[in-house]
Amino acid sequence: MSTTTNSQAAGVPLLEVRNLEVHFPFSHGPFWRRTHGAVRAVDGVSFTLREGETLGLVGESGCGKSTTARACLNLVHPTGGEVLFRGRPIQGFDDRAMLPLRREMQMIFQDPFASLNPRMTVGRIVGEPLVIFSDLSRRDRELEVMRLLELVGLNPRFLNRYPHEFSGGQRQRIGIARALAVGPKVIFCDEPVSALDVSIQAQVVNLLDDLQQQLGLAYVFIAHDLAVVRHICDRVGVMYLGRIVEIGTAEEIYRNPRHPYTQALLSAVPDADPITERKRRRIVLKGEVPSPDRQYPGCPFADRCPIVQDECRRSPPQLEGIAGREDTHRAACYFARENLPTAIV
Amino acid sequence: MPSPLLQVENLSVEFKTDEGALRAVNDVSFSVAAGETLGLAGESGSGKSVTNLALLGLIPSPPGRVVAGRAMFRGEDLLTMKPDRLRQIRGRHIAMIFQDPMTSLNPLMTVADQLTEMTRLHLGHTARQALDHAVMMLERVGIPAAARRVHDYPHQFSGGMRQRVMIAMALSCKPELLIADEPTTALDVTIQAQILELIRELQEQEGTAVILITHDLGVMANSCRRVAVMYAGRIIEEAAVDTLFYKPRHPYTLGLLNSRPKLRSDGASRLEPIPGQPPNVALLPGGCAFQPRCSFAIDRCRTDRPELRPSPEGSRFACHIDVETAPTHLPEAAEVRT
Repeated sequence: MSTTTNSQAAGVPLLEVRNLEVHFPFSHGPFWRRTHGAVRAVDGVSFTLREGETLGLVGESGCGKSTTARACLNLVHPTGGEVLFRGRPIQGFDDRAMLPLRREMQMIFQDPFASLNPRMTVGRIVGEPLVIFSDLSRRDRELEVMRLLELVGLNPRFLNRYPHEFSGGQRQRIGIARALAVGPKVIFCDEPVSALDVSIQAQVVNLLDDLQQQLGLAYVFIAHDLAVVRHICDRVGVMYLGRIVEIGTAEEIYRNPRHPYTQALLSAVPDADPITERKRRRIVLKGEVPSPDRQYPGCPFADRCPIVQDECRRSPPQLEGIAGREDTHRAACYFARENLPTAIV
Repeated sequence: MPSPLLQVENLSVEFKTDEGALRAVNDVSFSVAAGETLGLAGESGSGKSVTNLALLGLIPSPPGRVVAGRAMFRGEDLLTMKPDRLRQIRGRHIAMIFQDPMTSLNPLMTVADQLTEMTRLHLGHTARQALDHAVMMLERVGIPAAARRVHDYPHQFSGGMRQRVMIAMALSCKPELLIADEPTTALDVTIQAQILELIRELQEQEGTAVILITHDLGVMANSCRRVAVMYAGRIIEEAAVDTLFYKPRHPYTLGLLNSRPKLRSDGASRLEPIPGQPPNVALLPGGCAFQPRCSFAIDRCRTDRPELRPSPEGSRFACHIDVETAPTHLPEAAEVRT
């Protein structure tokens, strides 16, 4: 699926995120609004994205995957860390600095009902980025919008219709056409198919696949559906409490998960196969994801981990390469090197 | 064969709309035996939730109306029963859990109030007995410090815990039938695994029958013994779970199975989506409702609606063709265009 075409960029990733942090401070009391702590939504996330590649970010609700994407686009302000596009840091994350980058990085949202303005026609929705970023005439813009609609598999004659006239899957196509309008290199897809019916999800997944082939796009694909992620992603990062706890090629993560959280997550997904389901042993995790407003001295997963040891609670494990596969697979667990009992059949 | 716990025959439900009567559930028949789990699958708008709301007399009327059918439960017809009698059955003999535990718990009542209300009404418990029973139920569904937490309000619980409270409430009168409408859709996978496990455990201990409504084929494979697939208000295939997954007879069922990526695949193969859009029950085509999206459709499908017929494996399916023996395999899905 991935094709690295740009030789000039060899070595320099398209997008690099270093130690990204998004902390939301909170305070108590009506008068002295002193900050009492912070929700550490994203807490030191680093990853790279190469041209034409798809990186999946998975994890449970509240793990910070959406906030990570939003922070890369400065839709929420990062409180720390760096984002580099083609090796150049995005200065200060202010809107002016971001403007040229909006041509390179776009986003598709989860809810195709909430993310399209109900009072604008499809033509205006898809054409709006062109008003801002191009000097096309009105007529040329219309032609371009029709080309984009065709590209995402919609009838170009639907230009003057309103979002409510479309089904969920078609609306998601409109959102994709809008993201493509400025000719971006990277698209952040935030749960792009989870609001759609099963029979329609596959249509949109195939469309994203096709567009990547045709346009050489790179995706950051955020989803909680691990089967869809397996299908579409080249590499996958697993997030827990604002951190990446394991990252590697999709093949490695799914066939040889090393972090106990990744193993539990994969073992919890029911597969559409009754015989495997009956044979399967599950790691049922105790408890729930703890609150991200506390700081943990050790591993954030320690309280739910089935193989926790004393040292896990003392200092947090860092992402480290798995022996023999340092380039393709890293995990943040003291025991990732050892052969853990794997529950995945 | 013992008589089933619930036998639904020819159920039809209509809603009055500006564009005329809309038939959300059309001639649906199925049965549930004591202690078994029946899955109801289908996409949004296929009628799976309306079917079950109709059984419990929970269709808002107007605009909704049960226009035909019988639903025999313990020798009585739920659909023609007096409201008073239905109230005695609802919660006591048939309980329901919904997708969103936040909107189905009363935010102004403590969990204790909501749990004890049921047992005092249906089982005639005293306040003391009811509270003890509530604490016992919360312990059984795995809520830590139940004796203290029973006095909390719903917002003080997390999503997974709220769903546990719902289950505790639904099961507190030991119903014979539990209707679970997308009980885990709003939850994360690790919590989903806990809740499915919990339902299964309680079912084994109490012998409760379950109707599990879900669009998730994985949950279906995991939890159901039989599955009925609905499309545009009708059951189009019903089979034992293995038959449905490994020998689907209806093109829609086959399409659903093919359009899902597999967790354990290599990720390289292309998905085969079902072309077109989910149907609008107000504007159904003539003949088979699935025909405009079906790659096997023949002329007859456009004029005659296929009735459910038996297959050699003992399943029922509503299709003129049989995908098992059809001459062509699904062709490359046609370009989606509207």
